[in-house]
Amino acid sequence: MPDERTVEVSRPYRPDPMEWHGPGAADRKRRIFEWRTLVWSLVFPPKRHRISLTVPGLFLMGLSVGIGTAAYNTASNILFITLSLLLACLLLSGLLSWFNFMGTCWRLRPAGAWRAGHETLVTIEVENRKSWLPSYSLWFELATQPRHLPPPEKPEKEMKMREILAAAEKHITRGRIFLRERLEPRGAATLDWGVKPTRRGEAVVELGAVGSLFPFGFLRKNIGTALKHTVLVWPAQVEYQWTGAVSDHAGASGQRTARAGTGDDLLALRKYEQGDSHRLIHWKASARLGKLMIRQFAAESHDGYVLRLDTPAAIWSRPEQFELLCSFVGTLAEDLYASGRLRGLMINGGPLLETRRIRDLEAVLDELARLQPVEEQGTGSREQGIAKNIITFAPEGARGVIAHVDGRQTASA
Amino acid sequence: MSTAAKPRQLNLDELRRLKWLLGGAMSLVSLWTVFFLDIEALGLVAVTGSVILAALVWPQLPGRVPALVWKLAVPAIIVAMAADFYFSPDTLPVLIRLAILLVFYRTVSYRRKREDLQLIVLSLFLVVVAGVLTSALGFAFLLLLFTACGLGFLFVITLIDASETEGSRTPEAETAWTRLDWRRFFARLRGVADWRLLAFAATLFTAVVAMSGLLFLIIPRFELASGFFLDRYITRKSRTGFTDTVKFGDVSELIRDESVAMRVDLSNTTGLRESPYWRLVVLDEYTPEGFKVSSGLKGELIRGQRVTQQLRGRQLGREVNAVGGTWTFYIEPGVSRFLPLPGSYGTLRMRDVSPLQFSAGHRVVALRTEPMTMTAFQLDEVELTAQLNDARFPQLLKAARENPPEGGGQYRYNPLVNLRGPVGEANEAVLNRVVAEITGGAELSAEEFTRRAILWLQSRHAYALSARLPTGPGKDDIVRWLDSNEPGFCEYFAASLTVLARAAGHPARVVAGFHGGVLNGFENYYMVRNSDAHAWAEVYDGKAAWVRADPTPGAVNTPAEIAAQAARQEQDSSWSARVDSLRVLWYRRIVNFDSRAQVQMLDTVKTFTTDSGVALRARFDEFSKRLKAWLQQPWDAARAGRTAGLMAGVVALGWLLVRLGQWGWLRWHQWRQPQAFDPVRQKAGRQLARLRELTGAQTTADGAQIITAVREDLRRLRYGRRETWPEPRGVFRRAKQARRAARR
Repeated sequence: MPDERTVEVSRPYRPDPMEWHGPGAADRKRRIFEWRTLVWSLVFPPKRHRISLTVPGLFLMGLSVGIGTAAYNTASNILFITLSLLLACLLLSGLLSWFNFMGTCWRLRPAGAWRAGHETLVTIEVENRKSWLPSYSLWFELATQPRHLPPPEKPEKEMKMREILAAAEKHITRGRIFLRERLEPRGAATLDWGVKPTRRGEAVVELGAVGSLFPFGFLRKNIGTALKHTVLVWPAQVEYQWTGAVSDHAGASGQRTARAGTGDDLLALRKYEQGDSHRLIHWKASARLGKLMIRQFAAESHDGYVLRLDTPAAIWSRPEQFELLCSFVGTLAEDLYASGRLRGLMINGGPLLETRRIRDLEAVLDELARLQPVEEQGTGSREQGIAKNIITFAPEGARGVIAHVDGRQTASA
Repeated sequence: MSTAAKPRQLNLDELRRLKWLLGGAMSLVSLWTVFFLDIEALGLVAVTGSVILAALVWPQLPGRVPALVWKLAVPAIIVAMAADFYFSPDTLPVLIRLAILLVFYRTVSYRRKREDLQLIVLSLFLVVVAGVLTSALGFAFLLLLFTACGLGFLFVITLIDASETEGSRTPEAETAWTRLDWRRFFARLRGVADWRLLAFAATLFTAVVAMSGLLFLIIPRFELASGFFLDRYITRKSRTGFTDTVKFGDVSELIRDESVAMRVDLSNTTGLRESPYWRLVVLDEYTPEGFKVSSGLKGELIRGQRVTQQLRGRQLGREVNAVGGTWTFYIEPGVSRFLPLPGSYGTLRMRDVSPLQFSAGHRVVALRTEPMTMTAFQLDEVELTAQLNDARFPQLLKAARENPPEGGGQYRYNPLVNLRGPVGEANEAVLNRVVAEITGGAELSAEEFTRRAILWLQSRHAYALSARLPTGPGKDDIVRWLDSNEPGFCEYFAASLTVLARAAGHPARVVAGFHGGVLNGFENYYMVRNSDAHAWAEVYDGKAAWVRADPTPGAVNTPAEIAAQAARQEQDSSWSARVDSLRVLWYRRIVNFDSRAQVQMLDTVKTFTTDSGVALRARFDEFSKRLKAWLQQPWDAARAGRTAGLMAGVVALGWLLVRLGQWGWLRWHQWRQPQAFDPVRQKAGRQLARLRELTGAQTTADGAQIITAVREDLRRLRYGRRETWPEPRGVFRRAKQARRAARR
């Protein structure tokens, strides 16, 4: 879409130990210690470090000004002492805040699959790399928004700045999570942020800033991080109606699935992957090959369906209907896969994306997450030798979507 | 949330209990400062302090108070304050009592963050007001205590803020902290206390104190000519008898008071050969109840009033026996509005610009009002002599004798008042008889008359702290005492000598003040106590001077006696004197610090720095010259051997000290945690952490392989059984090499 706004993002998320950010991150360049640099960094905050006064801090400043005025007015050294103590407390507050952040580092881990309308977790790992001192009271400001923001609706009247800002904020979900317990020296902690994405597609999750009121609540120190990751949000699951037309075709064709599942027949051996059940380890093969191998069983054999999805912009001109199509296709694909009846998906005349394993299904959902209406239909082989059990989709009225199996209506959403 | 190591920290309820404890301690400290103030609030402080203490120990108590009482508390406080304003003559005591009530209310009620901050501000108000009004050394201690409690309180509030979860809690959960058992709570506190954190906190607190001290010294100072000051809003009566009127018995009451009345800081004590007489007030007018400041002298003082910081004192007469150096006086509040002066002086300099009343002839300087705070001033070119020159008095006396002042000019000084004594036939008969006994009918000089009168008085009367006045009609008290053989104290002797001198035709007056004091053995200053209060007489010598005459038995009047007294000048080196010396340091360095002292200090620092730099450079030059000369001396095998041996010895000693330190450190750790402590495992853990920091650094394939191998060995040292350990030193050495290689 030509008028889409694109948010600048970092590279897509890949777990990498070097992703630690913050004052204690190891990838920071080692600098030669200089007193001048240290003092200057205390006086003038580094880039993206922001220090602001809280209400008690403002009050303390006001109190200091009042006591200072009284001290000069009366030449009372007692008031000068009090003023000095207040100013020293303010300086100490800044110093302790600096100590608190020193040696701390964090990284962002958007966990699991993201699905529109479903709550998912963003994990922040925090480490305190100081040897002696703990860190206290940190908070993390997080935000997520679609990478491609939809074009703004044309306003009926001229919008005020507040309304413009509110419209821009509408697609952004913000959150703040607190480190409620102190982080011990050389300790680590993980914090989870539950977020519910609203739109399908690529989304940006960002750790905007790490802040703290430590130690006395006078100063609010924020360290801006600009730590961003792109995640894919799968389509939402929708309710649909299955009309039972498939029964006419049960056992009628030879299109059977051959994919991994929970059946009794051994299908293949594959390498061990983290999370596999230890009961499935093929010990003999593992011993022979010198690495752990896993037994894969074939799924119970059923008739397989192919989902064929064509998204010409001329047909899917309504964005809401198109979103429903993606959600419907995704939901149907998952249900068919769960019942062992999904062979694959073809999108806009492209090749058949076979769904033999769960990763294949995830790849299909990834494709659905990125799917957009196309101007021209692809010219590739449409059925690729598949004659039957093809599910196609078409608009139904202004809002609905219907699915046909070999031209017969099977389901609607 | 999960943490790698099991945290040892207080939970939310324990933090709330700690906050309650610190808030209560802070309030009690602020109430304590009110004891320094001499206002009518001590009963209130005692009651509120007791209730706060009870609420601290039993935090569930406020929860049992009906809600209606809490609702009515603030209106009741407002009503009480309004009534207090109506009935009290002063503003400030009312505000202090209001602050006490508000601190009390906030301390004993359950608080949220906003109320916590209110409590800090109210407590700070009490502390600052008490400090400003008293300038006492105890304030410094209490301010530090308050700062420690306040910072701890704010710290805990921040922790609670971060620990509180969103969403409402049940009332039972909200007040669960009040039901914690104290013993368990303190056991938990002890459990979570880490010596490193405590040491860090102590270091930071020391840093705050040092930082505030530095700020105090470098904050630019400038004096404003007329400033607002709190003590205008509070009136205070003199605790001593040194007011315009001294009745018989006023001074003797003070003698029983052992508290310090003033301290006199001497920059140079070489010229000090006798116990000084500190003249406060000159009482020149006789009344049957006692002597008082005449209206003429009062008028002179008022006419001489000026708002100034400096007074020139040597305007009359020539300089006699001046003592060098500067004398700084620190007078406790409540002593007198008259300033104690040991005699004539060159310059009197106040700490602040103040309204001063001044009579040059009488050598009397007074403040306009009774000071609420410690009063400080400096004198230089002080004269310590029994003689006060007054070249103007003969002319005034002559003029007054020739043209006696009329009744209308009662506020114009009348020198004839120094000749008036008891009137009435009975009084005059007694006085004439006594004078005749003293003089034997001869015409005596003032000096000789004074000497004989003192002898006469001391032969008839003994010294005693309690005097009994004989009864009898028609005669004044002092005349009846004079005519009796009753013992008496300094006021009776001074008054008797004065009336006798006046009866003999010599102008005389009573002077009240202090005599003597003790030199502090630690800092160079005089401690003068209220028990040193004294009264003596000054008799006009007939020429141009007033001569001090102290008729009290035991007083020192002759040069020989003064010399003997100087020889046995005592110094107080007791513990109380040591503690008292801290107070003078507080006055000298803190309370009396002004722009002049600041400039002096900066000059001193500059001079010290410059001199130190020059001296250091000179030493270094000298050392390098000697080293060069030493190196250029001929070398032989014996000398080279000696030198090498010496250097080897130094290195060995250093190595030994380092090993000893390490051994002590390990022993200490083993003593603290005999089971958990294993230095090899700990070191392996540290090395692993350092290697972890290198993860991802650009290394060659060989380097990565070495790091992996070393890491395996370190892990075995860290977590493996002892039997499987590789040789630790070798592993640590290889880890160091690997790190170095990776950095390259």
